[in-house]
Amino acid sequence: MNFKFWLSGIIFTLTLISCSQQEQTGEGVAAELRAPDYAGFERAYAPKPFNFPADHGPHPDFRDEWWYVTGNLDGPDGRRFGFQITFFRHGMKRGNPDRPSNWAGQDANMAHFALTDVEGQKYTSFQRISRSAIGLAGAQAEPFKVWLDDWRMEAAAGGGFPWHFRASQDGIELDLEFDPRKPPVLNGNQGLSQKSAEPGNASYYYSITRMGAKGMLKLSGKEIPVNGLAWLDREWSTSMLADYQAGWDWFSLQLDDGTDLMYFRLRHKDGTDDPTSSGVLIAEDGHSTRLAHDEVSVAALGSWESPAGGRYPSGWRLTIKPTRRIIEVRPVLADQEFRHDARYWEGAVDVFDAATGKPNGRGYVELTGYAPGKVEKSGQ
Amino acid sequence: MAILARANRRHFLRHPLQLLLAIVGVALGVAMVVSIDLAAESTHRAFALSMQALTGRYTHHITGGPAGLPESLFTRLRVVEGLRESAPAIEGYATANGGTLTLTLAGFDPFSERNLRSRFVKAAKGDEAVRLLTEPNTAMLSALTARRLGVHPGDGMEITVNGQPHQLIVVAYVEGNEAPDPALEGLVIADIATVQELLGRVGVLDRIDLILGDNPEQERHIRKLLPPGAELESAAGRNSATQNMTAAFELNLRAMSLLALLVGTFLIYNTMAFSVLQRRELLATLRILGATRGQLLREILLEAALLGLFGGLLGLAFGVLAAQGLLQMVTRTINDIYFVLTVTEFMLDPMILLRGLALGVAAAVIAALGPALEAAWATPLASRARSGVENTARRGLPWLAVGGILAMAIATGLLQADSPGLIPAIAGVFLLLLGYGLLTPMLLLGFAAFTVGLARLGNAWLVRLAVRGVAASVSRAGLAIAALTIAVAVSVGVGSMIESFRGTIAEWLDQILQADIYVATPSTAARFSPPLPDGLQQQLAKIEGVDRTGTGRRMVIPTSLGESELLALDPPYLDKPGFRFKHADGKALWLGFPTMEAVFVSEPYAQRHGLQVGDRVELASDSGLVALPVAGIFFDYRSDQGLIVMHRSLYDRYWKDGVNTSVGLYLQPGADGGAVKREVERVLAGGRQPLLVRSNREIRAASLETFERTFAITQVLRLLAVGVAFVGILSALMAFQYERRREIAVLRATGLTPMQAGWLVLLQTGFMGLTAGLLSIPLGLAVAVALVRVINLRSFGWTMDLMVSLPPLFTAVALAVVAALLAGLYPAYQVMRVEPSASLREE
Repeated sequence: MNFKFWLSGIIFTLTLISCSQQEQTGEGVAAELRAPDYAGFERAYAPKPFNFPADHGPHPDFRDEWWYVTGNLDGPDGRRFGFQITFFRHGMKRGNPDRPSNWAGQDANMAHFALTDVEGQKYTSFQRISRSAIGLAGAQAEPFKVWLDDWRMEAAAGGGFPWHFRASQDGIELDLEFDPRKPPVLNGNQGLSQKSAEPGNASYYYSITRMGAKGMLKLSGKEIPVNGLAWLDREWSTSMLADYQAGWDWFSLQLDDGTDLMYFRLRHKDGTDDPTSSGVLIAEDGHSTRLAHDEVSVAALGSWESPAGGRYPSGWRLTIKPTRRIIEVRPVLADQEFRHDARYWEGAVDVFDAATGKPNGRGYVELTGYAPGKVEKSGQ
Repeated sequence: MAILARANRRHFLRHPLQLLLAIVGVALGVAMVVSIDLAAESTHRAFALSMQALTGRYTHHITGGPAGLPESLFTRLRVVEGLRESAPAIEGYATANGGTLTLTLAGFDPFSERNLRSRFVKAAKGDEAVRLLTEPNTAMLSALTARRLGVHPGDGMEITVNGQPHQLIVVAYVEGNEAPDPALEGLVIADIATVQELLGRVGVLDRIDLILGDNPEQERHIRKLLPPGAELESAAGRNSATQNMTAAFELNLRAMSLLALLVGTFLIYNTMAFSVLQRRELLATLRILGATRGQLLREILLEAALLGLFGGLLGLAFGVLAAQGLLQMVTRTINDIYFVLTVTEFMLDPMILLRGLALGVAAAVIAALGPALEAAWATPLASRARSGVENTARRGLPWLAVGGILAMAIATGLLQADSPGLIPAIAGVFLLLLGYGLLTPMLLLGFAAFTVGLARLGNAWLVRLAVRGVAASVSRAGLAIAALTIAVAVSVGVGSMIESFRGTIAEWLDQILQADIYVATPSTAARFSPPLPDGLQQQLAKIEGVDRTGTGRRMVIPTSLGESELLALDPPYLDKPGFRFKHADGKALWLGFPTMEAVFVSEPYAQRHGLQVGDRVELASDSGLVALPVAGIFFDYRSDQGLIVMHRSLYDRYWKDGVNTSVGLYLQPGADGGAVKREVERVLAGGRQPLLVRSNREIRAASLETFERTFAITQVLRLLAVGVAFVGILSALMAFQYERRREIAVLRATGLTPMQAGWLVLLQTGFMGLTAGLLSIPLGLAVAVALVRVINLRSFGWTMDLMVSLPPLFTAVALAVVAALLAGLYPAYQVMRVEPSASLREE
């Protein structure tokens, strides 16, 4: 759920021009590239059948696409970590370039990698960019693989799960295997996730909400065996938000009772919620229930001011009306803001039962549209 | 004090020509030094900026052989090795504006640049960046170059790459929205895909730039991954290697500027000395009226400083103007013999201007110090007599001569020393000039005595009178003659050097241009030769009248001695050696050439790297490193970097490209060269790639033209030196004649006609010119020998045959005499006009 930031990011990358005045979402910059049409890319108007593993691979007829994994990990001695891995693909032009040079690829690629060290109270993030040319970056369906430089996520030897992920930079190395505990969930209307009123402003969106994550984290020269739960989000689209929309708050929570909750609240610039906000509740057996925007209420409990400017909400009370469940969600660390070409808050959270105050789950929250588009690099 | 200042001001108002001469003298001296310095500095900075613009903040780079690097190496480094801070580069040249403007085509990957040198990424905004990345033939162009070509973002422009026309779409300026940057002049930046396509080098990179920590282990690991012919080097090494190429050239330029300084200082000294000298009576009067010595001294020095300042400012203006012309020549020379320098922006370094101004003021003050002390310390009455000064001077002459001989002895030692250093050699030449200058007054006296004897025999009393007059004031005349002698000698020396060089080159061209017709691709820079189409040699061999064909493959390869030029030759005949070899039997060497498991290296190459016959050179070939012995050293003048030559059959064993860069056609005896050439052109007309077809005569003429262009700056500097010396001699002679006014007045009063008085003046200056001209010949020859045998050999590694012909020597003597006579015209006119009584009354 990060398309604008990704898109504005890639344009920032190409221009390196500060566009802080260009709307918080970066939509102004995006419009520069988009106007007046969608460069011939397809848009998401109607539900389509999903096929796996084909749909794990790229969808080049759509302009933007991402592979998004977040998760919470435990090490020995109670050490705890959160991680975020994202591979983005952005089509600059549709179709085969048909040029002699192998560099004439049409896709720009970006990857984000962040680690939250709860005990060390430290959040570190990295960004990489490249292009789908001469094998520098890209994605493929069979066998599944998505990569940028030496960061990669790929299928196991037989072409299926577990997926293997590996990335390293500046002394932080993460090496994990992801094994789904539930089947993929098609979000929205059979996988068509509407983002604003205009038809076509939608994405194809599926998630694997609970995957076992196991592997090794190398930090400060030490190898730490880690184990935990991860969440995969896959989305492709050509256009999503409308001009009047500011951003979203996205929750992906894995509760101890085996239930998973996804909910995104799309915010208007005037502060109201968009009626296309929605979510899904996935039972332990993988059965999913859609949540309409009026079935969940979100109330912020506090706020956090970014050192680079911008105020984010911090801590929430979520009321899930169909199950009459009230939970509180709190960041494990206040500053989990990704500050590179794109800026957003993406952090590990704890979930508590609002009535008893006892912890009953973990998850990740993404907050966009709260801070000006671009700041100086921090993690690199 | 006010009276003093007023008196001096009045003096200059009454003698405006004096004032003008003094100011022009300082101005010329300063202008000469400043212009050469500015031109040299601009070239230097332009070079540094050109390098910087294309390199950036990487620490290492990987370069490929002539075939370049496979782009898969880059993928490997990124995806497998995780070398994130890396960027690919491909570079080439294009011409625009009908071939008159050379552009550097630099291909980059904006995504990778992010990690290395983001300034280019800055330029293109969102949709422009997308156009650069997705549309063919799109590029960014340097704003200054765009302005020069009248191109705006969005426009198309015609460029020629490897002889093929292309339409380039300029989507943005390289500078983006920032101010035009002179460092980016001539630069075209495009996506790597676009540049690969334009250059016809798909799949290939020239370079991979890297940022590596100080980690020898990592470097070793990367080296293991490199394909044969590729090298990992530190960025500092590459820049300094290229910078070293022009070091000798720059040093020569600096030496010229030093010479200008010498001549310029002399000029300033002369004019200042004259202006004080002329006022000796006035100053004596002021002393009698009560002015103290200190006051006089201060006054004169202040005045000198002011003159120096005015002259210096004027000189800066002249210098800046002249420097722009010089810069064009210097850049041209560098492009002809070293590399394409696309930056031609003129840079005004305030330090150079300040230095020039300081030089003007300091030289003026120091020059005035002697005469000022003389005027201030002399007893007022003695000031009227010149004889006192002259007696002192005459007593010092033997010491000067001893000093001169000593200086020349040291100079000879420096020039004959075995050390390869260029600076001692240049110091030697300067000492030689200086020593000879010190000896000049003695030589003058000797020559004067000889001439007087001769005149006595011929009963030419006016000549005797004139020559004796010159000898009597040896302190003035000696200096003027010494200056003229040095200037003319430098001119003779440099002229002889150029002549020797030209003769040597012409002979060399005759030897190497053995084929009758040559076919090659047009290349923009000497170091960049694109390949010929396949099968061309066979096609041309079939043409009626062609006896045999030979081929050449020219390229730059990495070697154990750095990047070197390699020439692989396949000559069809072996009876006549293609080169003249140093200390060796060329015929025997050449007969063994086709089967030789060794290379020949050119003399500059051997000199540069200290190679002897039998030493081994390691070459990075397509099959890995090959160590080959040097079988012979040949004379060669095509580049001062030198080159390695091997036979084509040896080349084909280690290199796999199989292409040629030139084909030579040897005609059957009696074949019509013109007809064959037309037929060759007809055959080639069908091909896609335009090729150059030239007869050996045309190449010879073109090479000599390049040669002339290379030495154009030397010629200009040579003329400048003579010009400055001329102004110097003018003021010296005017001073000289001014002092003789009373003497001539007495002669006039005792019966000398105005005409005779005029003749007397002209005879005197003519005699001085003749003396300088004659004395300059031995010195000029010595300078020529030093330049040809020492300076040029050490700078460029070229052995040249010393060739001296008589006409330039006669010209030198004539030049000196004419310069002196011209300088004598005005004083002669004055003595003819002035009433003797008026001159006498001034006493």
